[in-house]
Amino acid sequence: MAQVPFERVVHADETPSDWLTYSGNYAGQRFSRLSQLNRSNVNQLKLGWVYQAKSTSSFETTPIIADGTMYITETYGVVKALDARSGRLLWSYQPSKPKGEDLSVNPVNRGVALLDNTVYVGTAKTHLVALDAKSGAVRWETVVHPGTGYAMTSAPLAIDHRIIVGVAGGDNGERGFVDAYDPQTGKRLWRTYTIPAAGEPGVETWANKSYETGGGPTWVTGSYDPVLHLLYWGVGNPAPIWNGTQRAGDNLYTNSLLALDPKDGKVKWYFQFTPHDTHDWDSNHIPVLFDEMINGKMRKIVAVANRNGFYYVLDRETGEFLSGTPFVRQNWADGLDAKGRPIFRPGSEPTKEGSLIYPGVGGAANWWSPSYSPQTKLFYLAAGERGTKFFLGDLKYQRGEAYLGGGVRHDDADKSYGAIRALESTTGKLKWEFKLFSPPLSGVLSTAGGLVFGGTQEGNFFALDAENGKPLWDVTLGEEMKTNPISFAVDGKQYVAATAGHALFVFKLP
Amino acid sequence: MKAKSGRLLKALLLLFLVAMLAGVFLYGMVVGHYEMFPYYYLKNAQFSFGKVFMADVGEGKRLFEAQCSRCHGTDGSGGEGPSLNRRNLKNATTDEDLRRILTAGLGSMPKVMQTTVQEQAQIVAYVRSLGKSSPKATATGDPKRGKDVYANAGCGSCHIIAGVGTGFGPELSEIGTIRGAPYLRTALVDPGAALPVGTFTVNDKYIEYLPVRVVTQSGTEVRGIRLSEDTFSIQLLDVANQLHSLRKSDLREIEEQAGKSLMPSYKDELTAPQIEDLVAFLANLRGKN
Repeated sequence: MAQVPFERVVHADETPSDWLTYSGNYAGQRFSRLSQLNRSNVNQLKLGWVYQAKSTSSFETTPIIADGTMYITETYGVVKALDARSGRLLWSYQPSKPKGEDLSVNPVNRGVALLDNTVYVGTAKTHLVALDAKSGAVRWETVVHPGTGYAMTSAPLAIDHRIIVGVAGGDNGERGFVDAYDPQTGKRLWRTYTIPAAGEPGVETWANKSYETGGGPTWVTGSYDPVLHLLYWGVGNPAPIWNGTQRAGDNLYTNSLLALDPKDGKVKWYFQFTPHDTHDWDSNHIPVLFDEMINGKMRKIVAVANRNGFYYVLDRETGEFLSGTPFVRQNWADGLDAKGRPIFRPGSEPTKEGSLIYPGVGGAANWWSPSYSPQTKLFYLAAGERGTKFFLGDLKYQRGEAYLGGGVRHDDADKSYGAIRALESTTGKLKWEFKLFSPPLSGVLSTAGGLVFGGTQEGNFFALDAENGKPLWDVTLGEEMKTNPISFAVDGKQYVAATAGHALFVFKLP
Repeated sequence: MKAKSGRLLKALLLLFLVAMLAGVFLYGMVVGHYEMFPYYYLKNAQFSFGKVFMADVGEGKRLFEAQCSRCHGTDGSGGEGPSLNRRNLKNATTDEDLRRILTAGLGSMPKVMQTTVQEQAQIVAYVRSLGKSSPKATATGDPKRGKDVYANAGCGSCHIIAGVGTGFGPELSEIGTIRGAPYLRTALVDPGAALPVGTFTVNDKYIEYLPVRVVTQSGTEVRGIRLSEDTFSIQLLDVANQLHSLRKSDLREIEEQAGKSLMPSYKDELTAPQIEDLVAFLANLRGKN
């Protein structure tokens, strides 16, 4: 019998002891339905075990747990299977690494996908590898893209008969894409480019054939609605990023959310957050799906907290724009129009002297995960409050090197800070915030026990009250956290886990 | 006839030699020392033979002025950042080290804005060329008199030089390798404008020696400089050099005084010549560099 068949992942909410897919469920909610840990006992959390990675770059993995085994990834796409009870190593897989010291993409890896008896990982060399879940032996390996310029850093998404992957490398001017592979054979079933080629719709939004080096990477794991049969995937920024002079036009489908048919990859609808981006506001975000009442009517929603500082609520069947509200300080737009298109403020583009723009280059939100609690109906996120000066530079394209056209400077660094914010999920209205010393690089997990977990750059792993944001527990883990916490259970005991520095820390109740 | 052609030949030979020398001289003038003796530099150049060999120092100067001079001075004489018109740069023994500093930053120095490998070679070439010239005198005072000024002004009650003094403010043993004369001058006459910038976190800079005033829930006030901080705690050194480790949940007020310093200004305490002597003394504190 297959260990984790598709149907089991569809009903992941019913088996909260496991964490079967990157965001906990296909809806991208990163919500644990375990409630053993709650407001009254969270301050009793103690260290269960630690795993120390041999990672050279930052340790950003989200563990997958199924039936007592935990699967994690390290730099380049190394995969380790650990015993979730003791933290002991069970098996290890070493991928082939890209050549050369200077990689064009930071080779972090954010996790695996699990389907039936197979573990799937995307490597820094841009290969998709299928491993036997019991032993780590290679079942098959497919080259997603040869050569330099691309890498795979995000966890694949395993759905029915499809392994869906995205790629990094947009800053090198490479055209991004979303691919689907056969889980048994590794054969590619379809590829959808995020940037049109000559003659394709959308090409008119790129002047001077700039679509040829368009960018638009797809490096954050998407979400899936198995009832509507729609895949939701974010697209990153255009290249060259700081200098948009040679690519006049909206630059579709950069900085968009795509709704794809998983059967053939066709784009069913798209919504573009930031047309003609010059601030590196990749829309590589987790699309969060939930159903809630708006104006007395039940709506199927997809919400995105965008790097550009706005929280968007869209209809996930049609892509209709329902609302967009700023969730950080922003000075580049005079709001959004009725269709959700930004009303750009003059002077907000990069200039030779530098323009100070909020949110800054790291964005109000980024790859780190938000969370939706069906209990509180709040959308939780880790927000960055920082301004950056954007400079316009010359355009120089060199194959394999970053194609940027300018630069940035964090002039306002001392005034920057972060916050965990809880927004009303249908309106984006701020319910509460908990300020952080610096802009965060970690996402949040919310739980049925009424808790929100997050991490700071200074290494604090903490729990807040999901209703009001009051801090309930914290521990110093000693190094920056670039993590998205998860929760699971072994032998009926609830655990929470997060990475900090080069270690994975697992906490449990006594 | 033989004599005449012989003289002509000699004249032509001499002319040829002069032309050659002039050519070499002019070449050296135009492209700089670096280009004249590439082999010497190539021994140290571990990145791309071709790129360093062909590196245009003039282009490097243009890039340096655009991106580096703000902190390192227009001629590398230093300022907020260390002077670079020195033979030995302690963090950049090789050209590859120097290139890595450009692309990754170092401590509170940000990385350069997007440059190609060719441009990095040009900046490296220019910085190395600065080390060939003798450092310009930006400190006009007398370092020997400055040493006396330092002692008489009681600077050692807050600073340590070569193991002597009290460690409350920044250590000054090698301050001449970290700061240029203009910065040192500011630190003496307007210390609040010259608080050092460190790195508590990876991407952002945070002011060091920041004066902080906190009040605990029970009403006790503590004043000092911030040693460290995160979302939940703050660590202070008070004016008696005592450490206070505080949870923010135990504090009802935290006032961070950016733009101020616990170091007094010496603008009215010392004469202008004394200040210049003190600056010269500090600028000369370079350890082995």
